[in-house]
Amino acid sequence: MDDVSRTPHALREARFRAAFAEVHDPVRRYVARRTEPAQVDDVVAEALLVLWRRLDDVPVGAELPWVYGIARRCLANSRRAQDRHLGLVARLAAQPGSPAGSDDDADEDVRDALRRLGSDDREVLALWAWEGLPPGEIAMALGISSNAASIRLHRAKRRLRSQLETGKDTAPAGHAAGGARRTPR
Amino acid sequence: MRDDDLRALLARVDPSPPAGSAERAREARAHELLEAIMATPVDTTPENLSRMETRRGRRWLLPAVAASAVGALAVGVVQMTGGGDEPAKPAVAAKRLELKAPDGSQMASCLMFDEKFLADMSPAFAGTVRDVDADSVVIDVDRWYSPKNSDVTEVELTTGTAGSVALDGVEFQQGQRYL
Repeated sequence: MDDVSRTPHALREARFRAAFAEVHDPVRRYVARRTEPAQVDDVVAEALLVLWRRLDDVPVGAELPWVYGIARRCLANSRRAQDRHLGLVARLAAQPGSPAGSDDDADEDVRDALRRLGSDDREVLALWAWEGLPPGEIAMALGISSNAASIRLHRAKRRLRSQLETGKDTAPAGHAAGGARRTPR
Repeated sequence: MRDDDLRALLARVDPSPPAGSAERAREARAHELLEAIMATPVDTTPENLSRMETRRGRRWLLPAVAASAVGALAVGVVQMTGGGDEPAKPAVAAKRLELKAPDGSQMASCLMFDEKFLADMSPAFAGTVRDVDADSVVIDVDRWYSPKNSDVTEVELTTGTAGSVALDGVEFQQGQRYL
């Protein structure tokens, strides 16, 4: 008697269920970080539908970075279709500024530093720090080589550190978040 | 500054919403999404193609293949640069195909294209835009990926947008080549 659970279709379904359980929340958070709340459900659904359709092409054990790459392209489509460019920078800009002298000044400095970086730098830093990906998986998510991902990450960190140092050097104590910085006399 | 310190600083400004009270609702939605996706047939070759209905002016996408429980798969529109990589076709009587995009969410251009992927889709073709107006675009087809032996030489597209986030807002231009 045939074991139905071991048919190719059943095995594929089992693999997808396992992959879905692993990737759904991280991908949802990935998308939520980069687009408006109203778009999240649609983009996540599209990315996971691609995973279902192309499961046979996904390297075993690499489902998450692979889906990040798909979600990234779905986000780009979403932005083009909506004729908007709300992404990481806009969401950072939309976050309320911190009162002068508050403990959130340091957070605002970090946001300011990120805003001054290019979009490629911001994306690779987000994949590293927020999605927690190592360079090899960053490479898969971005569709670039591991070497290129490592180099891009190294440079982005360096530029962020530089921006943070610049902000520390030029910002007077208790500066208002988001406002123009006064240069020291 | 060490990497750990840099990562900690970035973690403080993570814009992702925190988990918590909405967890159960999210789990329920996740389960619904899982079942809806798995109800989608993997083989999306359509039985029939039909004329697309115009919804809006000048935003187009190539027709999607069979509808699914979640939405339809769409072959993304990719503008091709360069040319001359396809052999010239002998002059034949034009055979026109009219295509329709189904409703629901579309997924244009989320995937990287290769011939294997295109071979699984239908229709999939490359061609040059001959005419564009408010209601339709006509493409002279110079290569078919799926079905491979199609004798259709021109495709007329009319499409609508259903507000899906994945619609690829590609504007067709006369004389340009698309996939």
